[in-house]
Amino acid sequence: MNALPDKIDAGTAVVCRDATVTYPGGVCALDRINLSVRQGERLAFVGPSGCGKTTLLRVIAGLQPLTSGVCQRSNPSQHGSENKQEDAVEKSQYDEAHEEGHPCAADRRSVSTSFVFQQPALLPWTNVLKNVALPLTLGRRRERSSAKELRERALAAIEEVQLTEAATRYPHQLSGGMKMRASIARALVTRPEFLLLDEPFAALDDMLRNQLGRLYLNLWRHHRFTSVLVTHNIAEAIQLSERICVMHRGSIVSEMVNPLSTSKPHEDLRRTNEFAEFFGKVSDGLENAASSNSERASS
Amino acid sequence: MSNEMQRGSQTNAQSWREMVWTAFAVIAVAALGIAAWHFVVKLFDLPKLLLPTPWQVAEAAWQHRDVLLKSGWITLWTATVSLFVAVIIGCSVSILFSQSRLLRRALFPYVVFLQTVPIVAIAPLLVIWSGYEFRTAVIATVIICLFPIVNNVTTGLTSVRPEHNDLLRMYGATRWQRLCRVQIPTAIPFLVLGARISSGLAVIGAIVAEFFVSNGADYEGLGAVMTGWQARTMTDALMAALAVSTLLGLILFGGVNLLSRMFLKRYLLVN
Repeated sequence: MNALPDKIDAGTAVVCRDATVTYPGGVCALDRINLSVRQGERLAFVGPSGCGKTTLLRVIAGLQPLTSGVCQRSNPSQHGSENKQEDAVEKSQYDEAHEEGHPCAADRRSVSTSFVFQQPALLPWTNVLKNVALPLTLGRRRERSSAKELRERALAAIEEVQLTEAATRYPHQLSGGMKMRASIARALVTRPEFLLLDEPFAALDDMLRNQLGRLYLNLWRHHRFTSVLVTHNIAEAIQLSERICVMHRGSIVSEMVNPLSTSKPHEDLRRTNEFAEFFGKVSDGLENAASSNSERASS
Repeated sequence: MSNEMQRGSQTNAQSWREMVWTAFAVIAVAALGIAAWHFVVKLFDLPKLLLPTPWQVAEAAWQHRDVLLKSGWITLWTATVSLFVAVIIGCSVSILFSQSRLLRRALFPYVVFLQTVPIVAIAPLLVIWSGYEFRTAVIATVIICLFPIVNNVTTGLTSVRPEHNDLLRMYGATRWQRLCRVQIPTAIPFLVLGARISSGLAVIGAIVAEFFVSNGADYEGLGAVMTGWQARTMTDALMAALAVSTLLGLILFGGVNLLSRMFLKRYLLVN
């Protein structure tokens, strides 16, 4: 594993030190996670259901408070001024009580972070255009642009995901893939520096999954955001990420740099021997973690 | 797209067919009920004072049509105003409840009290405090209508989907933005449900309130008229008034449905 930097620097997007989450009832979702993510990197967490992938993503997003440890995230737009380094750091130390006693860090969170949820999470009573524009109109620091400008930005994001013809449709009039594209457009509309994706293509068929995977890679090439993807699909992790963290029972059990991340076009990657070889390696990592845990449990 | 349109027109035709069948079933049940009623009266040779035939009730309704129309209109107006006031008060209270769990816990038992207190027990007190007035009938009816609205709307406002909650937190939505963008739209189907329940209660509440308010007042609602007819044992006229009160309930229920379909369709379709 990479050595963690002591202080978050200009090239680092996220640093987690001994990040631990224990749910009420004693279930340990994350167990002393140490992790560093470089700016502009595409990282994937893979692992079986319940291994803590989504919890870790939510910690990075600032949606999940830590029981102990620290998760720091830099704000790349502020790295220009050296002596404001500390200001540029947003800690996931959730000291602001928000709604009904649930601590969260919403007000301290930068709008440059976007999250693509497993479900499209579109507001069903409003059309695609307004759904996509929603993040621009939320928060105390919401965009002070005119309605026309907001509309244009939303339309531009919709165009990026090739959904222009459905901009005035309501979510119930869209297919699963179109809903997910609208969800990605909503995430992109704020021009995020972090894009966090929680199994975004899990509910889609294989063809649609590939299509949206290609779209995601094109968007990354264009915007170069830092991206963290959660998936239980090893092939998807290989196709979409540069580095893969294998998780098991709340821990990162191995990290692998993906040698195939930029070697071939997305659609050709699966047909190569290298893909099969790396797939086997990641799969072995998962199985080793599972078997060592079961051995520990039996002894 | 053409497939989608074809599917849409098929769905429309299907829903029309369902509506026609539903109307047919409702009318058939009513016809059967009226026939059974007529048969029972004739079979046991029941006196008119105890149970008149449907035809006698219809005759009484025609004979007292002016009174029934006038008093029915007054009762309908009382019920409608009360339902409107209950919706305004209920939504305001629910919004307050949705903003603070502590407030909700502290005050909700008192809202339940409104549901459990018998209106016949509270109506005489309301008459003492507010007089033999239209407003007294409205206050009594609002008390009856309030609970289903507060209960439903509060449930709606606090039932925001977890993924929408995460979305709002992610982008740092303020309390006001959360309320207007997500909580209120989520609660609208719950409000319609509460208003439907309360529409029936509003007619009951208005009639019961009129039993008390009408004494010594110029207020001639259906409840007041029924009190007079009961004193004169006019069973057929009383049953005609009962039919009118049922009709009022249906009108109010239908009105709530119509308004919700006209103005709130997009919120109802998707939830």
